[in-house]
Amino acid sequence: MVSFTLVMLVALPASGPITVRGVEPGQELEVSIVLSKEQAASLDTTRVGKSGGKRLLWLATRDAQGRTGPPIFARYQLDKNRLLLRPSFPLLPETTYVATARLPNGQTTQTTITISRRGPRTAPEVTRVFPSGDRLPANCLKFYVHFSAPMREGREIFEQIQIVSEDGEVVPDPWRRVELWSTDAKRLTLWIHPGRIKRGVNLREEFGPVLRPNQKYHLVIPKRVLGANGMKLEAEFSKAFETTAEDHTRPLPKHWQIDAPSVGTREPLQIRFGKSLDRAQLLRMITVVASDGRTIRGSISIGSGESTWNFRPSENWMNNRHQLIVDGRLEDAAGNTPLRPFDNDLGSRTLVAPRLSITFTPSFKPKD
Amino acid sequence: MPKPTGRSLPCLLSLLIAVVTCGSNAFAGSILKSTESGDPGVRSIQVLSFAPGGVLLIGDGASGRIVAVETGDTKQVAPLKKPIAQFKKQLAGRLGAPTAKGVEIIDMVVNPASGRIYVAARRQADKQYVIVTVDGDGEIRPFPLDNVRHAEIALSAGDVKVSRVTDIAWAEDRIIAAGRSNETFASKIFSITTPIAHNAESNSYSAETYHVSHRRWETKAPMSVVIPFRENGQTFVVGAFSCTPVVKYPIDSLKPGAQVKGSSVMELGSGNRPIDMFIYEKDGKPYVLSNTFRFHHERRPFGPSPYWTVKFQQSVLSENKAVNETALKRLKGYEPATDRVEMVESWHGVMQMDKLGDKQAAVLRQTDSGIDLEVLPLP
Repeated sequence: MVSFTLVMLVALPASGPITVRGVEPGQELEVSIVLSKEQAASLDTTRVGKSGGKRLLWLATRDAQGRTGPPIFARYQLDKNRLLLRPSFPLLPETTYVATARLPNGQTTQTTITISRRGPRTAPEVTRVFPSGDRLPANCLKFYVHFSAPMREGREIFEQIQIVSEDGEVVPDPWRRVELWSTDAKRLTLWIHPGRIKRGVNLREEFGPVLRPNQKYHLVIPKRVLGANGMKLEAEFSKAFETTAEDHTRPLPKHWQIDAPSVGTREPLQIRFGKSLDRAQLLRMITVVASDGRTIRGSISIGSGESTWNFRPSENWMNNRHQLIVDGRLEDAAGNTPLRPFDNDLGSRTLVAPRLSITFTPSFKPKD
Repeated sequence: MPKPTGRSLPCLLSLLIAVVTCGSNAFAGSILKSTESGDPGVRSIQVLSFAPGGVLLIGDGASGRIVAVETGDTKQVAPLKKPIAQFKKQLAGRLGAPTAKGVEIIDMVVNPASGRIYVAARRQADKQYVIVTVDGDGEIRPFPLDNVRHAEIALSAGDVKVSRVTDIAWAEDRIIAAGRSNETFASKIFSITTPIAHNAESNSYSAETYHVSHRRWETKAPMSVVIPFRENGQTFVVGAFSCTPVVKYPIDSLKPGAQVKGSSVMELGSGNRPIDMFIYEKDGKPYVLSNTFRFHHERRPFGPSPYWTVKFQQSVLSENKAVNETALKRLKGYEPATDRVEMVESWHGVMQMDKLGDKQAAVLRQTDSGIDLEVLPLP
């Protein structure tokens, strides 16, 4: 039995019955053997794998304990007397595979293959968590956790990320276990289980709320959370915060303070909300419209604690009325929107439809 | 996960008549009005389901759409002869990952037109989504999507960007789906009329789902599981929320952009996440089977596994008076409160399930040694 290993960018073997091509990252791997005339004749060229090719050449994983897995999915082709195998899915870097060929004499021969990784592996980090403030309502609905690199998806994340109280007690099962990753897997939306926030729902009645008012907590993202590349976090991340009373009020635009910019400048327009709003939504749910109905382009920045919104236009402010158009579904940290509180008390007064536009006029400011 | 096999008797009869008169391929043609050949470019798979005629429905939340694929798999195959122990590890190995942790199983469904099992999985290291089929002899084969006849349906919900498709179900003459965003606390239910034309966005519309508790608190409520239900000539969506009321919504009168309020017909008990649900018949009586994940298992277990299954009489769904606060409760404290609902103890550990013919179900079950694929008689 012949066995050798291709590590990193080792040149292809010239000896041995199994030929391997394409071990470098980005290349398509191809494993082949030369068959005897009898072996080749036994195969159906239109169904090479099914007609026996699979029994003459196959590729499998080998784990850390040296155990070989089942044959991996592969496509087969017969080129004259050469039997070619191409994996249906790219082989994984830093994983050991074993190609096995059955020789005409009935014996088998093996070749070990390791695919190298393109570039160094780096440990991912938690870069930001929103809401960023350290005082959050006790009915806070969600956290956005941003990572420096794509992360490994899977439901174990709900066991790993914890909320820990001031006395070190882990709050049991705080999350709604639905994975909500951004498409690049660099942002995780973590919902505190709504059933433990909504009033009158059995989960809250049985187990109580996740957060209680006027308490100190840590959101802990442990080192064992894995990046897509299989590496653990560079370091544990902990966000300390303190809870305030539950917030059941709508973030109504009529209560917002607007600092109007000066005419003829590109000074930022600033809105102060008086509470923390959803950062991701703030980047797309407020628009500035000129008096002629044209949407003004510009750059948005979100202030500390997500309680201010700054808009710097890409053109100078004109001396006329502008409008801020607010999407009624814009949420605060507790999931209340201008349209309705997160859990609407049907016993209280009927909800009045909010005004979702605010008018402002850039000001003339005296020159210094 | 939706189970197209969860139909009422009139629905089954009408389907039978359609199959007899048109043939299964003709039926598939009637669901997909126009298709495109090639690679649909699926970016994510969050749920699988089947429409009649072997049409595979793939929930691709990353692209905010459902992809309907004509599999051509309409000939009956023999059911799985014997369980596949450590199926997840087997699948991982066949996908080139050395350990079971190298893959995440997303969903498992049975094609009712053939009885073949379809499993969607993700290779964890490179986030490659794959679909495989499992035959009666236990052979696992890839189901490539690089050249298939397909139709795409955009899940358009106004400005709400659907990033996750939580469930899809075939409902006699339409597809229903539940979806949600990963930013706003919005849950949408979609109704997609058939036949489906490729890229026909206009034939889907959405509504927002609400729920009332204690006759006082009204909130948006995301649905985890949806199945269709016919009653008195009307079509309803039966859904399950996270904690864990079973809720009924009428969909015949659903208007685009409307808000719909569901009525709870039963409480399965708090601290559970419903996974799958389907309707079946046993000894002439219709039942609903649902498996759930108990996320409070460690604190208050319902059995040896966090995955447990419940069976209840279909008549529970027809309840119109005892709803919401007065809805049937499975438990009083931790004791059974009704004989209309029962825990299926022999199904402990079932993580995924789908009906396989009239008497069996294919299940993925968590055991001490891994995740097995097996066929169980319906309870």
